[in-house]
Amino acid sequence: MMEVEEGNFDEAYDVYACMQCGKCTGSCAVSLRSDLNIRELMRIAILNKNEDLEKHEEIWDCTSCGICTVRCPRDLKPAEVIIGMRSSLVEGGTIPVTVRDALESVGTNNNPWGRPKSKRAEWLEDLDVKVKNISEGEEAEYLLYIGCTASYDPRIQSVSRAAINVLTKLGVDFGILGEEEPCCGSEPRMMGETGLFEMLVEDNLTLFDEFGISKIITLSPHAYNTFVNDYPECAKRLKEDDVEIPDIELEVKHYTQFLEELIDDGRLDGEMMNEFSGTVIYHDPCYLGKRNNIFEPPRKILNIIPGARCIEFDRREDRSLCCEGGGGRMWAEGTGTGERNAIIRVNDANQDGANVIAVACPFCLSTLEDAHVTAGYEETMRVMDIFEILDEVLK
Amino acid sequence: MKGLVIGGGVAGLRAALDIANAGFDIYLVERDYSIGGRSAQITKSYPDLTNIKDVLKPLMEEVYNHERITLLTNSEVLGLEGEAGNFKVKIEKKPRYVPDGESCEKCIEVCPVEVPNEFNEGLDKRKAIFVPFSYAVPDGCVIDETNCLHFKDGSCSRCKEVCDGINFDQKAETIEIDVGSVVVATGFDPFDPNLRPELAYDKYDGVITSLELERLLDDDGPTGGKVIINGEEPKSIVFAHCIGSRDKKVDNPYCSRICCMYTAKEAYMLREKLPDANITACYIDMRAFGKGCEEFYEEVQKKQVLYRRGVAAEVYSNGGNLVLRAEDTLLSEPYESTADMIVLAVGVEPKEGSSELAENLGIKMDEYGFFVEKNMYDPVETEKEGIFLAGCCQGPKDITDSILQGGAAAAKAIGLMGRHSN
Repeated sequence: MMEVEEGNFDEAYDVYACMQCGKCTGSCAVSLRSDLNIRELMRIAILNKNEDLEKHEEIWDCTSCGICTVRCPRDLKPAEVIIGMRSSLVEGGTIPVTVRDALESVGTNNNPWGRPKSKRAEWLEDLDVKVKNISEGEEAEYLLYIGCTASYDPRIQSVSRAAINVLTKLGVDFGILGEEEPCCGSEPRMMGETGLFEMLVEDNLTLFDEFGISKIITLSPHAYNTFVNDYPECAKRLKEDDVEIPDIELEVKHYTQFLEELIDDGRLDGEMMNEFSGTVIYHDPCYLGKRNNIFEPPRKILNIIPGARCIEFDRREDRSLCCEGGGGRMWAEGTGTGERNAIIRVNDANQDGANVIAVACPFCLSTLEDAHVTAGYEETMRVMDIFEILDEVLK
Repeated sequence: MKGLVIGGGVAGLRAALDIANAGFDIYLVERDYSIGGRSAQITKSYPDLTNIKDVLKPLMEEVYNHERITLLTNSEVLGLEGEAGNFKVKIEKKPRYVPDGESCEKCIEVCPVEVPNEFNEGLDKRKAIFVPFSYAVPDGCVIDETNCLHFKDGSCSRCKEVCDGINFDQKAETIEIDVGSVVVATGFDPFDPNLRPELAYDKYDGVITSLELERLLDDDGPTGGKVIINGEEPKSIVFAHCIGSRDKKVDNPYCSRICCMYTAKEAYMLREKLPDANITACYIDMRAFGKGCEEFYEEVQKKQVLYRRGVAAEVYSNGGNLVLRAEDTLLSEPYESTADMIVLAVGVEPKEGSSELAENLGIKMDEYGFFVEKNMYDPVETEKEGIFLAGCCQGPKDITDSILQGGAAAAKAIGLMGRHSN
């Protein structure tokens, strides 16, 4: 039997209760093109020892889309078992170099991208709009949490700027944390760095408390998910271990949820927009859709944009195809062969007649943007975050 | 002393006949327009492949014609008071608006309303005035007042114009009866596969439930026994076991007991109709218990039905072709398989309205909504003396076991009423 810090894998994850039905592996986003077989790993966890994990390099192929956990008929959490196995590998130090570098960078730079903290707010430089910086004492109702990828990745930085423009035009009272913004910890957690994640939860909740932040709008579904689902659980565990954690209740929304509210309140509608020209297909991010059942808000936003012809993938909502961007996959190419999901996705979008793929997640934007170039759609198709579309059409 | 049986499926029919044949008068209350229950939708039994209609029809007619049985269809139990040997039961009798046995069917031709036909699981349409199914008992037409335009807005009375027997003025009435014992045999509902959205039941015509397939296999069914999907005979068929069973995510952690074998039977019948088709069954574990069942399973396998271990994971479409994703857990090989028809072996759930009935009768339900027996030595008794259970309302079981339990409940009811009559 394998072990993690909390005990053996049965105590931590109930692995004996697995009935080996194969729902997880059958549903897995990468199992068709990788050796990753979570059903087998559930069994291996009982029958083998931690050191045997070293030969399972495919453990790093998991995108942490969570569908195995979402669908498990025995209500187990196979996705957490992967994290447990990764944490064992992290502890033993036998991890891909790129993953090691990313994790070390979170420790030293507070981001997994290996970039200095002092450059975290560089994306702001091209902006004409003045933004409140909560870390400099300015007060705002909402914190717009940008996240590491949208802070440093040149392509995704455009989403951050679009977000500022749009929220400013809509008269939202918000601010950012600038260079002081920390890593949310979602990716380190999914990569098995449990200790680092706990440290981030402790530090970040203290930081939010210090700056009086209670309402957060996130750009990334990954940050949304970790704030909403992982933080409370982790904080509870830390408190039980007598770690001092401020008692703050965070009201966290993904930006599409926030904008949906503005639509419902009559503060955002099609009349505020110029005509958009294009056939738009929306790609559900796993961390918004499958993991958190948020399907409607992004569609509602796209549907009010004048001129946008909205169409749908056959594989959407609960059956959406993961882009393979999460779970540390930004820092681990994976062992898989065959066509990447992102390529399948852009080909499907093309076949369906879309010329804009709308996304609501920095990782989806990154993988699909890359894929649409690789697949040769650079001239005929655009991959855009919903914030970018709104920035383009808002008067 | 009289008895009451609630539910006119196989368990209730068996119980009513046994009690009546022992010399007691019996009320048989059925919520639907006809007796027969779920079994009437099924073509053949397993493992012996008996035509259900050959057995069920005479049973239904015997009940209808039995001098000691008062049949109340389209009726519901509203309340019960008193104690064993002396219950007062309130029953609502809803009108059929057409006299029993009246079925020249001219009225059906003129009716302008079309709604999905429940008996055929929505595979075809019926009118608002209709005959529930070919061997319904009582026979003849009924009006479904929720869809009839006369009851909606008074805009139509075309059926009445061609049939004097029709009486829109009939009203529901509540009656009170005195009975010594009650047998509850209210049956089950199939699992709603939309609760597993990844199987895309509501997205593609090629994804059907096992009960829909029963209707397609029936010579009396909407296609006259032809298996037709999207206008064509399917060339590849995948059966998906355990849909809504053994599934904590939909609050049904139990095994529905019948799906492995009814799937084997459906695969057998499909093979007879489609000798060249590829037929696969995705299963978790095969549960072929019961007399003759394992042997039947082997027979089905030998007819080149490929049993592939690993539950159906997801359904989508690729260039217009249905694709089923799963893992072959014996090979540790995830695969995509194209299929023209995917049959979801839906599990057994408590009948809609069970909790209201439990409350009206004062009996207990388990956490899933099945009625609870007293204990393992009194498996057809409830904790409330004088109220007995039979069939799937107590838990999933096959036709044979339901009939068996109907007989057992009848014996208990006869014993109790005998004691109270002396």
